[in-house]
Amino acid sequence: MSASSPRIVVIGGGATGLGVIWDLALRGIRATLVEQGDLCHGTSGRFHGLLHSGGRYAVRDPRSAEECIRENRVLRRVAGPAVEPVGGYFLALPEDDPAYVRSWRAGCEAAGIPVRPVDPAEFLRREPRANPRVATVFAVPDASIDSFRLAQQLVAGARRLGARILTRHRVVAARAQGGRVVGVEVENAQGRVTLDADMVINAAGPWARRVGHVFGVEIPMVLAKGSHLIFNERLSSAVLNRLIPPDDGDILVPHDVTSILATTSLAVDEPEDVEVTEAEVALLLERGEALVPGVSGRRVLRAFAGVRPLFDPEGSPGGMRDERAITRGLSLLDHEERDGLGGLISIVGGKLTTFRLMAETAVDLALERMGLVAACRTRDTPLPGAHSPDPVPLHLERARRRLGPLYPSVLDRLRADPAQGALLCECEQVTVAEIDARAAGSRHMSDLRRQTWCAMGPCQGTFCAHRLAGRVDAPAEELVEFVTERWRGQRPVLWGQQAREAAVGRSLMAQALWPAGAGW
Amino acid sequence: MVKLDSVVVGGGLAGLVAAIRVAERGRRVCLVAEGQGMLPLFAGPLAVWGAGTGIDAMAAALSPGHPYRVLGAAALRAALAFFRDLTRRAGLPYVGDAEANGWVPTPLGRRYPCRLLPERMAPPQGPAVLVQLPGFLDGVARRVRAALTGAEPVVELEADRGSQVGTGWDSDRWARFLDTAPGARWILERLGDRLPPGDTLLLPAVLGVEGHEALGRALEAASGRQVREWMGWPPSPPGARLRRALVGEAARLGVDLRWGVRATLSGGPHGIEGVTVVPKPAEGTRGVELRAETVVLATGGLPGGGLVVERDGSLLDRTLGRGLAGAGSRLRLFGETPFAAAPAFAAGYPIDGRARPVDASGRPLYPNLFAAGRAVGGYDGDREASGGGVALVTAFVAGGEA
Amino acid sequence: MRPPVHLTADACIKCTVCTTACPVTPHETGFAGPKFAGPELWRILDEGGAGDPDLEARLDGCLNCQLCQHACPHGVPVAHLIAWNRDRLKRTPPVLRDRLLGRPDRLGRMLAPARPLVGRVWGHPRARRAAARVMGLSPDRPLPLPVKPDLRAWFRAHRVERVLPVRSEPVTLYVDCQSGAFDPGPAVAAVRLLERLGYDVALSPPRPGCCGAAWVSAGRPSRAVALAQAGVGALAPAIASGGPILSLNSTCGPTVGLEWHRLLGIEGAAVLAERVMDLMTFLARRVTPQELRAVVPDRSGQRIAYHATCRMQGQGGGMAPEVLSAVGGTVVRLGIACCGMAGAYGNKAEHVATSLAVAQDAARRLARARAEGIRTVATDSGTCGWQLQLVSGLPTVHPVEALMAETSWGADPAPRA
Repeated sequence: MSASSPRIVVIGGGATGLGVIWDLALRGIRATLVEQGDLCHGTSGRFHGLLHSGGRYAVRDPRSAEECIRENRVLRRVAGPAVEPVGGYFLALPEDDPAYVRSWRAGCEAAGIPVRPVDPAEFLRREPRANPRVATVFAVPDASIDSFRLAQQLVAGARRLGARILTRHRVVAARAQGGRVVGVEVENAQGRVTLDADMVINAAGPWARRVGHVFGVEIPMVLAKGSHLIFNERLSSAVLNRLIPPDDGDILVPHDVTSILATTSLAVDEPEDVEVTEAEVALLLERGEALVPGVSGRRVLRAFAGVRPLFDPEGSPGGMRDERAITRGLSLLDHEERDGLGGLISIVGGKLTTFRLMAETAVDLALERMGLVAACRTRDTPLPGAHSPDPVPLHLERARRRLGPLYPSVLDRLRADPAQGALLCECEQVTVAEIDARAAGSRHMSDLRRQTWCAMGPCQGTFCAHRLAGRVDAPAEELVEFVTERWRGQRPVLWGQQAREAAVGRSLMAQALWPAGAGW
Repeated sequence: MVKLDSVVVGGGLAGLVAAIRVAERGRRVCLVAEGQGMLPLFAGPLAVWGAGTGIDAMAAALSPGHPYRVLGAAALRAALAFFRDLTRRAGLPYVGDAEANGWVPTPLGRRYPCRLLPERMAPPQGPAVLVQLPGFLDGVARRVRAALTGAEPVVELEADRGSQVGTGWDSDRWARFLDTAPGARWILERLGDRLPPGDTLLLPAVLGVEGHEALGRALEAASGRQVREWMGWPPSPPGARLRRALVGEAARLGVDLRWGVRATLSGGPHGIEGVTVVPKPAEGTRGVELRAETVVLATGGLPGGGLVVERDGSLLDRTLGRGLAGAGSRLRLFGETPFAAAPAFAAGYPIDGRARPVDASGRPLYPNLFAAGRAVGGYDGDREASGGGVALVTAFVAGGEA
Repeated sequence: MRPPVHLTADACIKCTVCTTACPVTPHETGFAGPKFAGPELWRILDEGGAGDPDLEARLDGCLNCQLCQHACPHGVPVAHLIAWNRDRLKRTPPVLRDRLLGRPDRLGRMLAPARPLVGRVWGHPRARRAAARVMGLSPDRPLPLPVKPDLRAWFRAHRVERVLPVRSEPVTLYVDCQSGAFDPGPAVAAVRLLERLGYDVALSPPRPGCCGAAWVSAGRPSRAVALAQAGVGALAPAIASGGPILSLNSTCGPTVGLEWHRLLGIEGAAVLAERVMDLMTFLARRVTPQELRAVVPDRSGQRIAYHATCRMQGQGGGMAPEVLSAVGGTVVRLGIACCGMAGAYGNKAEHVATSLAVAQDAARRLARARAEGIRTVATDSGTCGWQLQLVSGLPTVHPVEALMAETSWGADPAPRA
């Protein structure tokens, strides 16, 4: 092993894995990240978008609460446009337990979470749609965070420092010698490659246990599916939390122009178990009424579920128990110590809010095991695109946040040719310039969608999917695949206007794609 | 209270055709529609049966509940002939063959099968030249030509520097710009004589709404070629043209047209007894009561908003305040993929041979209630490419009875 | 100032039917169009965006005809969303001209004493051009001036004339600014007609007060809120009377009856929806043709053209044709979508070109009507009337003036059998 060029492979292209590779890059280590699908296709792209203040864990999980508030402060500083500092409220209704309110305040104080009592009347002036029966309100420093934007910033930063990121590469086999991992075999559409490694960091989220099996180690985990609803409009200006022990449907997060109602919690067997049931939709809407009366009559665009990867050393592997009782704190597994297999570390548990801390902890251990010394710098180094140029017009303001490091090049395109300012996606205000700039990197429609929010608005692609396909010259099969993906997320919430939207969209697409292939 | 012979609820293709047919029979008819109806979303070509079989063979092979089967081949033929006459009179003649499919290029380069289509969208004769408008995103000429030989030349038009013409414009915006004098000048100057060889100039369907005929002729004169349009994305000028033509014809025949009102029907033991209409902005107020001998329900089904999917997965006819057979759950109502056959997309009333909605035992819900267009169930207009034909035959029969 | 919480774009499926109905989009290449200006921008501005001069300008062409809202097949309050979006994008307080035009009630009071002077200035070509430039007005437009005595003064002095027996139901005539100060003609005709029919008529509000429609049309609904709040107070006796509140103006009527509540979120205004009614609708619904014929001249053999204003179309198309034909006349519906005047819009220098471009459709239809022998045009708004008159040269009256006029509308070349 040469100290000058350590070979590290990071497995998993969610927030944690990207955090690890960014952390390594800042410490001067050029590592390689492998991701089986697209970046943030898993848990990191399927959560409520809340940058926790920690308040949610103040009573049951003080360690998580402390981690959250620390990281909340760090990310506000370094993540720039990915974080929207919307603030948050915890609200108790007259029927809620006052004893819980007391222990919650004590917990927040112990964790260092600043809590400010707010006059309910003042609160209702700021949040006119919130439940007018509210009895007690506290303000906390919640924020919303966009993981797709965050991922783009991490990728841009890490790549700039020499990191290698391989998407659509799946780890299929481990190479070990004398009780040490020396490399991994990865597979993509073109075939298999071997990556030599002095150290492998498993940051595969809900897939971590499966990755562990590749290396012959067992990682006891509980997978908990959480379902979410996205509303067409932004229903509150700040995050609304019920001030009760964490339960279903007790958080409403304003996210860009939408609101996300979260979440359910159901144990599942596999990371791919992300179907949202009708019962979950009904439950979320019913509970959401306590936060915003009338919310169940508002238009829901989509439902989606993510799988929380919870580390559960006490349970049997893959076993089930009350998953809300398991810590949301991070767990670092040193497989050399645990399983006698050197060169492998797993980082599991945690949450998006603490992704940076998870990365720091994992890299610290990895370097220690490799006998290297380099201090972590992610706490203070702004991510690329974190600092905005001069104020920009509103219709570009959203693009600026979305674009991060790509912003200047898009602005150049618009200046050179104002016609590039035409909106390709009207719901989300995505300009042709933005699509063209992105398409230089990836022409895959779904990838462009995640990067630009194209087709993520109320029409869900009815009036823009064909434009996107036309612009990047995607084949009809890809367009059908794209439309089908949009469909899956809508299907659990197809009633009212969203059902009408879907019916109109189907007619248009069926005409334009006639005879829409063998799918008929 | 206003007394009439007939009320048609719905201002789309089916509603307008039904109202015209009722009025032609000398009856006093009022058409009420929520908003302007959805005809501006209609692409223009009239699809009757995508599979291409002749009408007799098609009708014989259909399942018993299909509206074509219920109303019969003769009615469909008569409806198509009626529509041809009607559109000729209205100044927007539809051409084609009732027994065999023609086609029109789609924005994604496919051929959409249709039996009747506006003259301007008839298949091009001889080699074609395609035109790409500046900033036009709803159809890329290079892709559209895949519906032809794929090798046709494309003329890329450009806007003047600093001009906002075309930036972010959809088809309707283009069409209405080209309807103005500056707009007509804009396109005629650019499509003059310096064009690659070809017999037909093929553009997106944006050549005007009000002045489409004159503009098309002027362009043919300026370019010295036949001018044809391909199918676009909504808002669709051919749909707006058809709406304009049918509304004009309906007004000429004395149909009382009331746009922007919401209607509810009240039924009694002898049939539909009244129609209450409320201007949409005044919803919640009492509204006006219309009394009519007959009522035609042409409310557009699921896409048109006449049928609503409720949160529990049931289907509600908002106009009649009546539940329809759903699928028991939303997930069963819709398929796993968008294009799959699913109950939601064949939803609507089963009808009898006189186009009256019937209950499960085949008895009419009301003796004086008729249904047309997507309010009728038992067919999947998207998968069959049959929406236009079903709209016409149901409207023709309902309008002949109501 | 926030929009009321019940306003939402949730019903929008992006079908763009609203934009197909917009009279401005064909004529202003930079205009955003109602779908963008309304529901689309609504979602985005809800996020809390700062002022954006570029966007503000792209919305400024809106004349608040509300044909977009009328056309929407989904019930999206497109025009209401546009009004609030424009409000939220404004960065500066209104200039003097807009402050004056935003309060036609005040303008009437201010101009009344200065009437001779203003009249002279506007009558002199060079003075007019200079004044117009300073004020940002179009010099080619007539300037409305208040008349004396105004409606309220006339009403106090007038003698009640009865034809039919007195009825128990009280009616209130809503006095819009136009009727109150600039052109009392329709209101005078309405009072006389209602009194002949046996109604006791009250005028409300008792003192001039704008309903707020002018501010809404100028894209500043936040400034209309206080006016509407005051208006609900001023209408309290009329509300308490239990009788209908009749409107003569197709913009002010729905502003009071529907928009105070739905657009501006005024408490206590919801009740007005059932109470405020266009005068012609009232006549069509509550008065029999026999009663009507007993109090107005017979119109057999006469013919009149009718333009249902854009805002009247939004209320179901208006009942004037029914009423005018009930007294024997033949009514020709002109089928004009929007005349382009939109209150003070057509007077503003920056909008006059669009206003006249939109009016081309009206000009064509009126020329055709004129060629077919039409001599009088009826419409439900005074400002729209000016525009129709300007582009056609035909005299334009309110339907109630047409009913009450002593003179013939013009002969019907094809008298009914």
